[in-house]
Amino acid sequence: MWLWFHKLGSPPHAYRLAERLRPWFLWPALVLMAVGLYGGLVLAPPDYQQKDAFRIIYVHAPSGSMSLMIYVVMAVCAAIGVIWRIKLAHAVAAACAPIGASFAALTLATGSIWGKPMWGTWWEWDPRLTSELIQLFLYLGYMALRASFDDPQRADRASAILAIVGIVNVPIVRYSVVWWNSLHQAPSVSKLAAPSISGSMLWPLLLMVLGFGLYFAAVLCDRVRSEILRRERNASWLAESLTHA
Amino acid sequence: MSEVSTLSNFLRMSGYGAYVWSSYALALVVLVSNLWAARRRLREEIVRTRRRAQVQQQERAS
Repeated sequence: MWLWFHKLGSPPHAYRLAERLRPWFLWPALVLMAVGLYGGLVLAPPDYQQKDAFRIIYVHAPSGSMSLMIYVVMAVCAAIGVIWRIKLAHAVAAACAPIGASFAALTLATGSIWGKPMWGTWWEWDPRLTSELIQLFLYLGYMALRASFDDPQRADRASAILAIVGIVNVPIVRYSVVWWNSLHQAPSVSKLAAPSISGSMLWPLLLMVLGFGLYFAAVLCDRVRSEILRRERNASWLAESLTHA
Repeated sequence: MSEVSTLSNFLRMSGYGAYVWSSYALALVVLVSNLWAARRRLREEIVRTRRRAQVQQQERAS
């Protein structure tokens, strides 16, 4: 177990693993998204209140759940990096941030487009919307903080603290629609025992969430490899594995 | 005729077409650009690392 852990944490091994795993994430992700899109756009019936506007959910909700899930991955990796001083964990955390930021922005944009016809406004300072905006700023702040240090080790430590502290916002976003009387509709999927959404609308959504998750893993593979290259520039294993490939 | 009207009905999205399709277009842009940006950055880093390795080899040779 510990041997395996050490092997995984070693940059050369992680570099090759990321290279090998990427297609196994990417292609299933694309298939899941394609099937999910067909189910969501064609097979699912229109909502009785929102008509076809509800179909925005198939890009909005997966993107929203990604914006939170990626943050959890980022904060956990940052914590591992600080506690056990594993450089690779910091590399993964750094690789997460731009992907998470793009999903947070997409969530806000598609939510805004959905809000206009349904609520009659593009934006409202509502708990869910405001906390998701803070989520985006946390990602941007993390990236800005990293960029402000020349020394990668100091950048790792400082930005890790921000990532770890910022995780309090994740449950706030998640439960904002339950804790406060929000304009945003309550979750309809996560009530696992009895989801308040019909099966024909639900399965495409689950496929999309799964597809987005695998897609994130695929993009992360590439970004982690870039991070490793940037940090290990002078390592001899790199020169060998790149000149022979 | 009926096929054409089915398609145009689909694109209309019961009057919400502009909202639905602009959301999907944005999602497509984000998904594609994430993949593209990560790949481009990786390629740049690989080129940079190779160049550095070559310089180091030449230095060692001379």
